[in-house]
Amino acid sequence: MLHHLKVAALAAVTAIGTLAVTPAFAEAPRVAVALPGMITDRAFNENVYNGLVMAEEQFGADTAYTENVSQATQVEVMSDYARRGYDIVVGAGGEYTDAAERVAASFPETTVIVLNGAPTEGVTTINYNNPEFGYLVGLVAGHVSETGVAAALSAQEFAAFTNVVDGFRKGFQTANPEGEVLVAYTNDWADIAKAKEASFNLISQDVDVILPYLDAGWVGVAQAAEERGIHTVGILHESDTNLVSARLDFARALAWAVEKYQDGTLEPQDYVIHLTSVDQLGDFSDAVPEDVRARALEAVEKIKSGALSFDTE
Amino acid sequence: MFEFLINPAQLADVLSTALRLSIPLIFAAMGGLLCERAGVFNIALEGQILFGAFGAAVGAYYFGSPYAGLLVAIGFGMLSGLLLAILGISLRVNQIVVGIAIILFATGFTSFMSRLLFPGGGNSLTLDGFGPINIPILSDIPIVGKVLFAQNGLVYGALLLVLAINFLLFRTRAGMSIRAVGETPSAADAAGIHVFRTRYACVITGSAMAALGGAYLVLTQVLLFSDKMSAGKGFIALAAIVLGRWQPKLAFMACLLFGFFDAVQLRLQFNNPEIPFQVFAALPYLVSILALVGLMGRANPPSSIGRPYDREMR
Repeated sequence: MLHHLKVAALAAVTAIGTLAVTPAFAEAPRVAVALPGMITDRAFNENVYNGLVMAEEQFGADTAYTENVSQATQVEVMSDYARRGYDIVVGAGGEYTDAAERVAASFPETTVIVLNGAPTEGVTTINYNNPEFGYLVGLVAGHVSETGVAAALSAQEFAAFTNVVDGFRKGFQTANPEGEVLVAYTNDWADIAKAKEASFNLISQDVDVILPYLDAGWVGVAQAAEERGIHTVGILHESDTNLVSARLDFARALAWAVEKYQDGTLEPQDYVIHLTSVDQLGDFSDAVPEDVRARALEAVEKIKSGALSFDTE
Repeated sequence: MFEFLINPAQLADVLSTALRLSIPLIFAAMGGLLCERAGVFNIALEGQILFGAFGAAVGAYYFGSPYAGLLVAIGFGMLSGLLLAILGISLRVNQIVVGIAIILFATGFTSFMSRLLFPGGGNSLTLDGFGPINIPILSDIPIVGKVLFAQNGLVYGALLLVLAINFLLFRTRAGMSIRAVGETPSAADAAGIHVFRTRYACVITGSAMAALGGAYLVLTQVLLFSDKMSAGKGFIALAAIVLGRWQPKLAFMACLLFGFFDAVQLRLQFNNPEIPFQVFAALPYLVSILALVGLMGRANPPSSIGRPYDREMR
């Protein structure tokens, strides 16, 4: 009899314990991110890291991250987090897509997210509609540019960047049909000195607005712009030389995903974030006249209403 | 395609870019060459550039003067050289392994410390740097004047360093000793040359020179510190030493060649969007391979390079 009582008591305690634990578990998701670079790059990696901080502050998430995860260790790092019971494991960047697919297959309980990744079975991918963001900064650049020549600078050629450039060119030429957009690559995401030299070279070819798509390298572009008195536009960075920015804000994307996970509505599918809200834009610089600002805001409305849309590759 | 070679303003632009891109290579290559001439492999150049860059940022930030940055950079370079010397010369650890260890240590140490020491991280700094010094009269010469005589002090320093190393190695008694120690340390020892002392001196001095390459990046080019900002320059400097067949003048020209092709590569991309940019990015390496197999003849490294000296060894 006593024995039965003990079992009942134990069952009751366990039940209460479970009840007590489950809601707490739902309230505080555990989120881990694998990053390709360092959180101090003032660009993509830092942006994703800020998303982690937002998730912690807004949703009380228990967070962890690993920096400088090389291609060879992606699966190991992400699997390790899944094994340690993290609810959400994020690969920061399209290069994590293959690793994410394998981790998602091995750990079906874990929600695996890739930022900027190609749609993949079993994985949640979050993408920005790149041309929309390129278009908006291109439009502003086209109206402000005096020489009619702008440039986009990245480290390597890849689909997301090409899509940004397509939008950028379209925006630039909408404002100035004669306008020309150059494209250049530095071959290094973080080499500030080289990005600066590349910018000087662009400037000597009449470029007066540059769109950097780099990690820490953008600092060199901003320095060159400041020294030679030209402008930049930002989709990954903020600086004083920016005419305006329309940021591919992965901090916002990550926080959004964590919120959706909490609501229980995050599915393993591809999500595309559009440029539909004015608060996605940074501040306009003084060099941007009122009527150009109005046109930029109008463009956001057009994208929102569907009057302006872009095909991506 | 090559219009920029005819337009004087654009040509001056490309050539100044080339010179600026090759200065860190020149510092590192001269440092590495001095070590190797004394018979010590200095693979760590990449890490020493990074130490120099970090030291320059620390000095300039905390003492508010680029000269202090220069001194701290040299200090960091000498310390890393001392580490290489103790492990690779006295303790006879494999010098390649020590070099790689120093690179890895430099990467981790500088990025960790820059988060601790610089509020907001190293790449939000705006340090005081060295501005250009226009040499009177000479800087007014078209093209050449702008490229050669309107640069900052460290550029002139790098050019003088090449002459100094060349003079030291081939025109002085000390240089003779250095070369002897690098070729046949036992003979040099028998002739009364201090093998260990000479190697220590060369490695520590050479490492300080490599660090100046990093200081140049920080104090003249970008005025901030960012993680891994050496970006492979140390390895290219190593290639320049081999390409220059361990001769200071030739290694200097190899550095200029790499810098020139880097600059031209940046320029060619803009004019030829239809050609894949990788073709241009690979150009400097293609040229160096061609130069190695054909034009420059066989490379003859100092014969006891990488072999720690042991008096008792036969």
